[in-house]
Amino acid sequence: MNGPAIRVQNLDKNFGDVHAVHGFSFELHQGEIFSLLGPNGAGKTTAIGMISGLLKPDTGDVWLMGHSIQQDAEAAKAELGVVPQDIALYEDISARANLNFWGKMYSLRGSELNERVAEVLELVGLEDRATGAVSKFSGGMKRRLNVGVALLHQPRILIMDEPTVGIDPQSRRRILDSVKQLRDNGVTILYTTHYMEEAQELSDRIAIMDHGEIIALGTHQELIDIVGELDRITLTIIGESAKVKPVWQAIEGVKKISSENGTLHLLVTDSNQILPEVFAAASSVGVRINSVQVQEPNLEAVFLHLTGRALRD
Amino acid sequence: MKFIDIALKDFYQLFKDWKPAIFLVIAPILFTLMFGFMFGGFSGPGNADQRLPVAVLSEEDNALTETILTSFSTSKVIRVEMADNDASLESLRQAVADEDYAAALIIPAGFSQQVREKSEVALTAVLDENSTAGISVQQEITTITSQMQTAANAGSSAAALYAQQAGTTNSAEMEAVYNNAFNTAMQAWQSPPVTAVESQTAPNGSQQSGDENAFAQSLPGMMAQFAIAGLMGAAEIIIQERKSGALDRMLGMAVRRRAVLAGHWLAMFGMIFLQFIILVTFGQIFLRLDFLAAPLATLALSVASCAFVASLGLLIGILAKIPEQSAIFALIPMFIFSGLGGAWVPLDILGESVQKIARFTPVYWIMTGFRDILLRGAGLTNIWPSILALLGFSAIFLIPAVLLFNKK
Amino acid sequence: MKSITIALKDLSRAFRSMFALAFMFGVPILMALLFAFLFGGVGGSDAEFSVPKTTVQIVNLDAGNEFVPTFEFENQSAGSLGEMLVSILQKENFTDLMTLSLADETEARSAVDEREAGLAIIIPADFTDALIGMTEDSTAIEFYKDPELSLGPQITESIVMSVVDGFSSGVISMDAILKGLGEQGVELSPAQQAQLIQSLTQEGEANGQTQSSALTILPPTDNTPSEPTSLLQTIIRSIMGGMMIFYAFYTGVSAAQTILQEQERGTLARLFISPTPTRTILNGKFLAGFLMIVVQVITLLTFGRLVFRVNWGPFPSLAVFTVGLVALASSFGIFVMSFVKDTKQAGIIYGALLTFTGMLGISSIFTVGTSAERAFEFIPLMVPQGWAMHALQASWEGNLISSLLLTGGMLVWALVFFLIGNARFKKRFA
Repeated sequence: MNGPAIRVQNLDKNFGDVHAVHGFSFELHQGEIFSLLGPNGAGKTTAIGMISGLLKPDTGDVWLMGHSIQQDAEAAKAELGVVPQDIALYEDISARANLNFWGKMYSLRGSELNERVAEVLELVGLEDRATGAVSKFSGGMKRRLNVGVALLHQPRILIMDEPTVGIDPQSRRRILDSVKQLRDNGVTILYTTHYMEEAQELSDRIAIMDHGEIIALGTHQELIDIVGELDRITLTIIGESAKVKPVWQAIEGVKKISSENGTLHLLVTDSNQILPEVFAAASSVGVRINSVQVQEPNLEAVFLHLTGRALRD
Repeated sequence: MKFIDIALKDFYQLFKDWKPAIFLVIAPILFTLMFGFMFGGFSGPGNADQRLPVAVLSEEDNALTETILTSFSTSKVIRVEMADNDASLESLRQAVADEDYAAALIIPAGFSQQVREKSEVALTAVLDENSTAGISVQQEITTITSQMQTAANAGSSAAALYAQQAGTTNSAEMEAVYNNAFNTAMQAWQSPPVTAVESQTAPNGSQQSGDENAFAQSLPGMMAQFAIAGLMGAAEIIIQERKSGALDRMLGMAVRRRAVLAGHWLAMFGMIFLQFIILVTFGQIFLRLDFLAAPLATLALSVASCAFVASLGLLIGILAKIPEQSAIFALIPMFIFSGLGGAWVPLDILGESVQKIARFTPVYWIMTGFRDILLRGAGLTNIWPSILALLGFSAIFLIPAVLLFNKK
Repeated sequence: MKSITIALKDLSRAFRSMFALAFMFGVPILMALLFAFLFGGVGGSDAEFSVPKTTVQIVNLDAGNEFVPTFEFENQSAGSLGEMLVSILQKENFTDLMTLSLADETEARSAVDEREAGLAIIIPADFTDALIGMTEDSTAIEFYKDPELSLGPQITESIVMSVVDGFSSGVISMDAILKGLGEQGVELSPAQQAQLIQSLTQEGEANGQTQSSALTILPPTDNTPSEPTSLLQTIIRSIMGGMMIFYAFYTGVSAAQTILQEQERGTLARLFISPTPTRTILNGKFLAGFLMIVVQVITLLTFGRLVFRVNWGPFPSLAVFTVGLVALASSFGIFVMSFVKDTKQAGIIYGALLTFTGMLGISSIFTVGTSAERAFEFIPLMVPQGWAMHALQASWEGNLISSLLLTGGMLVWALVFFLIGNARFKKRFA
């Protein structure tokens, strides 16, 4: 099949008065890792729900490997593996029993099923714990098994909904490495996260999502270019921000000033040159600077630039 | 006073969802009424005839059969319903099998002749000898036919004596003597020379009715049973506290272990005591059970009962690892203590061995105490063995609970 | 195929749960064992319902009659009929039922009050006078009972009054004979009367024995099973049958509840994401409940048969009942759970709805032979458990037609429940 792996067209979803997702459209090329980045409550999970066929959109449609999720659901779902955000396993049975069951739900049987179960257990590093009850697993182990279930039927598309939330660094590293390996094996991956570093590390393209819509989409560099070569200076002050903002705005090279939760963010052309002027200006109006952090352009800055809010709330 | 805070927190958790709490009140009331029915409570609405219906097919129609039917119709146990003349034995048997009637009685053709000539009251009854209804009907029929036998003998004797004294064999005259004697005897059975009068120990010398006796068995039984049933939810609070880490948090805040135990115990005690208050009030108002004739005794017995149940609940909460276990740990003693303790069935109708074993169950002492109060007018000084026994059971469950909790 | 996979998965999870096993098997079996123990032990037809022995204090206040100094009966002399009654009750054939001792009235009442005796029998002073017709009014024997005892004093009272009726028969017969003769102008001399009363008293005893053989007892139907059922087996059958039905419905609801549990845990969403149609998923869930109840019912019926030798009835009617119960209990679970939002709400379903409807449905087993029997014949039919109970009762009575009709009713209930429940779930997960 030559077309996009995933085509999403004009998805809308409302829950009562809440517009969870609207005008949601994009395409995923085959074999790419596509990240959906946004803060909590941006609508990522709702979007994923519609793409995976769990939620019925109010308008729009989704095609997975050319199969419409609304018209040809079974064929579409057969192409798809989903790693849900929460652990969705039967904790009172063993890892192997879980994989056996879920494999059957993906129409795997007999020796093919047995082989795949063994492969997946090895892939996620649980071959030694195959017969133990899942309830006895650590959080990281459960997450790995959660991922393993999605891979049983060797899907061509994998959706991973915040798979690394709340797990130890070792397990997280393992998952990220597995994602890259899958991509190398030709799997198309739609990855949602609110961790900027993950999106940066993994993705071929990134969509930034906020309040139910995509506000920016492109490669990492294309998104960074939105903010240009602007550095971000983050400051906390003692004094009134209303007094200091005007004097900072007047400094040449200061492109944007925003504040959130008592923290001030400045987007500037050259932080090395502008920083002393920032200090001097603050001092001139009697405002003391408590802390300073300088960051080179990143997705956090892009989000901040586009929404005026920090990505991590 | 941290244990009071813990108790109040538990109370809030128990009652924030009021629906299970309602169940813990409604279910014992419903079961009380059902078991009360089983043992004779509420004779029936209004003037409804509660006697066992018996279909009667008489293949004869004469003065003798009229007499026997009159005797049956005045029975306090059975209610005669005349079957159609064309009813057959098979149809009557089917009707009894279908439970349209408790039994059927057939007065066969030749019955009168057999009574007169052989003084034999030969009837056929269709009934199930293995059912209580069948047994009751059989006993009543036997009593009435026995009376009829006496009358028949009297009639025969009178006729024979008349023949002897008067030196006649005039059959009409002899029949007149027979009938006279027979009818006189049957009428006399309606008011025999010696009757039975029942009386029983009752508070203040008053006579207790059958209704009240039935509920004096069922209400305390269900109070005890559902107090233990309520532990399923109460113990779960302790388990969840342990599982969620809240217990460790509490202990890390320098809350003493005994305060934790006391708080949980107090909450369970409070929940069950509230249940008892509601049920005692229900019994007092609607079932005419005079708990308040001995208020101190009722209070003391309730406190001792609640103490035992709370101690059991504390042990269950500490032993059980998951909520499902607590449900089973509560249900098993509930069934065993209730069954063996006489909560379902009066102990006196069970075997001697059961009656001996019953004393080792706490429910026995709850039942004994409340029944003494309700049926014998016992006061605080009379029911002290029950109170002591229940406090003893409290200790039996509380001590291991404390030891286990401290060990874990 | 996937439906079966889902059903088998649920089945295996249920059988790992101690809680589920306790409700499916443990409680019904425990109740049956408990009742067997309570009512006289485990075993087949040998196990009998044992009548309790009552401690009786008897008070003989009978003053006798100066005109009749002694009574002769079975080679015994007694100064009054009260004495004779006491000596009859002290005979061996009553020692299984009562332990009798003589006392004065105050002692006897006190013994009952103190729970040292279950019954005090107080024979009045004019007992003999009344029985020989020397008084106009009747007299009464007082039975002073322990109110906490039910059966024992009642049985003792019946026995005493049947003996007294034997005495009464003498005077009643006497009066009847004298009146019958008197109407024809014939009178007996005092000596003839004395002889007559003696023979009537003896006849009265003999009548009792003759009478029991003159009453022919027929069972209700020839369809009753070839093996006799003892009273204990009847009780066990009722209890076990009732518990089996009660907890079959619990199992049905519990099985359907897994839909809500899986929804909350996220595994239901995972199933919906898989290429498994919603219809298949729901069918698998429904099948799980069905299978669980089949295993439960067959196990309990078999247990009852093997351990207690309960006769559940002929195989055809029992099979018909089983099919109806399984269909009804599983579909009831689907129906009920389709109205429930989450597992928290389900708790109240377990607690209140199932207990209430279950109790109502099986109430007929508790009211047999009581004043409420008639009312409780129809009230249970308001709930599905009641239909199941009636069908089981029809089965053990060997009534195939009734069994079929009632099962037909159960299947109609089941169809309605299933259609509504299925439609609601499909709408919820559309």
